[in-house]
Order: sequence, then C-alpha cells, then structure tokens
Amino acid sequence: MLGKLIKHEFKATARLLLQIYLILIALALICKLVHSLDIFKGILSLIPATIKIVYVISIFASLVITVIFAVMRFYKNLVSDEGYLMFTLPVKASNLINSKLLVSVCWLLLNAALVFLTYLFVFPGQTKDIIKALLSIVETEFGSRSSFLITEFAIVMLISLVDTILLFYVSIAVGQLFNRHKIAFSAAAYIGIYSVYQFIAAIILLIISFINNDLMFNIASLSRIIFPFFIFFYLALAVVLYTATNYIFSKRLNLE
Amino acid sequence: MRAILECRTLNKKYANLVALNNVNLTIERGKIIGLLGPNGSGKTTLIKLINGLLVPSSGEILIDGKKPGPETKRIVSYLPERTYLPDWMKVADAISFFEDFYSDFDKGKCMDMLKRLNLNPGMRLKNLSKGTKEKVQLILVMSRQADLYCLDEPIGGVDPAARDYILNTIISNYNENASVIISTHLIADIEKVLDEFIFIKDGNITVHASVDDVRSREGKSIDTLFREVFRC
Repeated sequence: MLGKLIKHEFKATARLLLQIYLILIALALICKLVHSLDIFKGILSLIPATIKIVYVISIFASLVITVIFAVMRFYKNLVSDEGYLMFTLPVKASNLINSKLLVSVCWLLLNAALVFLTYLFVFPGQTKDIIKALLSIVETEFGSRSSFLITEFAIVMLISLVDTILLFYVSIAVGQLFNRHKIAFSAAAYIGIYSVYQFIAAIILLIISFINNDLMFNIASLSRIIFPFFIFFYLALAVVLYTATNYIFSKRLNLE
Repeated sequence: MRAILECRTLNKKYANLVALNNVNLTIERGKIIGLLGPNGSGKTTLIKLINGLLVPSSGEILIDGKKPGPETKRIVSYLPERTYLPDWMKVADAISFFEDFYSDFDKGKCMDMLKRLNLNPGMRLKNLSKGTKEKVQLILVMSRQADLYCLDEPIGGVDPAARDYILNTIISNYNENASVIISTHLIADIEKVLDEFIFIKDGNITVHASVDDVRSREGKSIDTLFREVFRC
C-alpha cells in the first residue's frame, strides 16, 4: 500500500512542482544565453544583470515553494476535507506519513540538485572555483579526515531536512486535536516545539563545551564532536517527532 | 453470523457538548437502516466514529468484531456529508484512486452508473456543481462490494430524479451480507427503502425498530412518527 500511496503522492505534487522546476531551468537557460551573447553595452548591461538577479531569486523561491507546498499539501490532504478520503483508506496512518515525508524529501533533493546543476551550467568557472576553494580549506584543516567530514556534513543536512518537515507535520497533528482554530494551534505548537528543542540543543552543547574546553576554538572538534552530536541529536529528534505524529494520527484523530 | 456493527456504551464528548451518550447499538447484516434525527443530534459523529475519523471518549465500537483500523476500512464504504475528493482530480483520476486502494471496487459498475447519469470521466471535479460532485462520490462509494455502507446525507444536494436513481442504486447494489446505514433528515424520500430505522436525539438513541413493525402497529409512516417525536 505504501507504494500506491507514494505513486499517488507524486502524481498529486508533480502538477505544481514540475512547473516550478521548469521555470527554474528556463531562467537558467535564458541567463546563460544572455550572458554568452555579450552584446549589452552601456545602459543595456542592466539586462543581463537583471536576469541574473531573477535567476538567483528563482533558486530561493523554488526551495521555499517546495517546502511550503509540502506543508500545505500535508495539511490539506490529511486534516481538511480530503482527510475524510485519506483516513478512510485501508492503510495505516504511518504509511500516510511515510509517503508524504518520502515524496517531500525526494522533491527537495531534486530541487537542490537542479539548483546546483543549473548554477554550474550558468556560471561554470565561478562554481568550480568556489568548490575548489572550499575543498582546499577542508583539505588543509582536516587532511585525511576530509571525506569523513563531508559525509558527516551531508548526513547532518539530510536529517535536519527531515526534521524540518517532521516539525511541521507534528505541529499540524497537534493542531487538529483542537476542535476550533486548528491552524492557530498548529502555529503555536510549531513555535513551542521549535523553542523547546533549540533550548535542549543549546544546553547540551553548553555542557559539552564545559567538559571539553577548547571545543569552540579547535576546528578539529567539528568532525569529532560537533557533527556527531548534531547527527545524534537530529536523529533522536526525528524519532520523537515521527512517533508523536504517528501516535496522534493513529490514536487521536479528530477530523472536524 | 457476527453483527456488522456493534456499539457498547459508546460516548463522544466535545469540550462542552455531549455528542453521543451511552449508545448501545447492534446492526445485523443484510439491512438498510435509516439513521434519523434533527441537525446536531449526533448522526455524523456516530458515522465518523465508525470510520475512525474520531476516537470515542469512552465505550467501544466494533465493525465485524474489530475496532476501526485498516482492516475495518477495507470492508466499510463511507460517503461523508462533504466533498472529499481533491478538486484538481478528473473523475477518471478518482476512479483509478479507488481502484488502487479498494480491492472490492468494481470499475465496470462504476462506469455504467456514470453513463446512466450522463457523467463524463474526463470532467475535472473543480468544474462540477456541488450536486454533480455528490453524485460522483456516491457512485464511487456504491461501486464497492463492501460489507457496510455508511452514507451521510447521500441525497441532500441532488435533484428528485437523481434521488430516485440513487436510491434504486443503493437498493440494487448491496448484497445480502451487507448493510447500509443512511443518515438523513429527508425521511419521506428514503422511507420506502428502509428495513429499520434509528431515531437519535441529543446523542441518545431513542428508537431502533423495524419499519414494518411500526407501520403495522402504529399505522403511520416513519415520517409522521418523526414529526411527532421531534416536534419543536
């Protein structure tokens, strides 16, 4: 059943998101074309500059839209009228959550890949320089541990992405427990839960830095302490957020 | 054979409102039951509890002996009192959705019924009137070979001609092991198809009886009885 849910989730979300990504690609192509023409002199040089700005804005816009759409889709499909359809399907609530989480992460990864590839295509020299510079910094600081550090960083990013989405999910789940003002309570839950986990993370980091005095000054601690800490912390957070969301939708569903 | 639906001292409370109060109810297979009561009497709450969209405050609800969950949803076909299909879908998308998730969905039957009501599967739900959407939803729900159908206000928004067709569809589409619960306040229209009726008032089930018994004993229609019992 999870496979079918994923299939229908892709079908429902592709309508909007593919259009957004096509716009991103189209803007990248236009940007590349305009920059390679090199015919805009004087005041006309505003044209390539403007197009570049529009392209860069579209990068951020696409990422923001992908996240907002994932959240709105979750709310609309599960907690509004469409929830009557989804929650009467012969599937477990966990599979409804899994399908939405998986598809959202897929879209975000695709989006990120498109951003990177189009940027590399439009500004190949600049992009390669930045990557080289970053790699050489990592290389000098971490030497043989470089690839380990990069892997850690990628894992932190991926899990924190999942956490970002799950935090919205659990907030929506909490909000629907109330009979009125479901959206307002969802927003309040989001702020509340976010503050609590930021607070806990800060406390733990503080404790670690007390135990380990040079934590903040020694860059080597990044791969030995900071990243492992965040991997563990974000993973634990993901488990808590997921379990809470699943519990509420399985045992405390309250569709108005 | 096990009762298709059983409620034992079922309660549902909201903050300051008792929606269902100690409901004890057994529904056997092979019946069409009218769930009748004024607005806000608890009809929709009961149906939502059967479908697991709400959780009881206390007591128990069993469908074919099981608590609401994926197993019971497989055998219950539910028509809510609202439009619940995503409006970007075409009718054909909704059909393939039902086909994918419900193994008891009969596509041929669904296409026949759409044709009878002159509904084109290529139509987008967004562009349909409320009554037409209701027809599409009812057709989807009745195209399943379920054990229990829960129809919440199935004829409220459709014209009288379609109403007759829909009622005929309901009678002819369920098998002898299945039961149909129809919630409505349009009693006169559905009275002729009912085997049993339930009167529900302020969350209490006041009467659960056979339609024929009441007709022969009291010599009046359920509609008349309803108007007497629920006189404002």
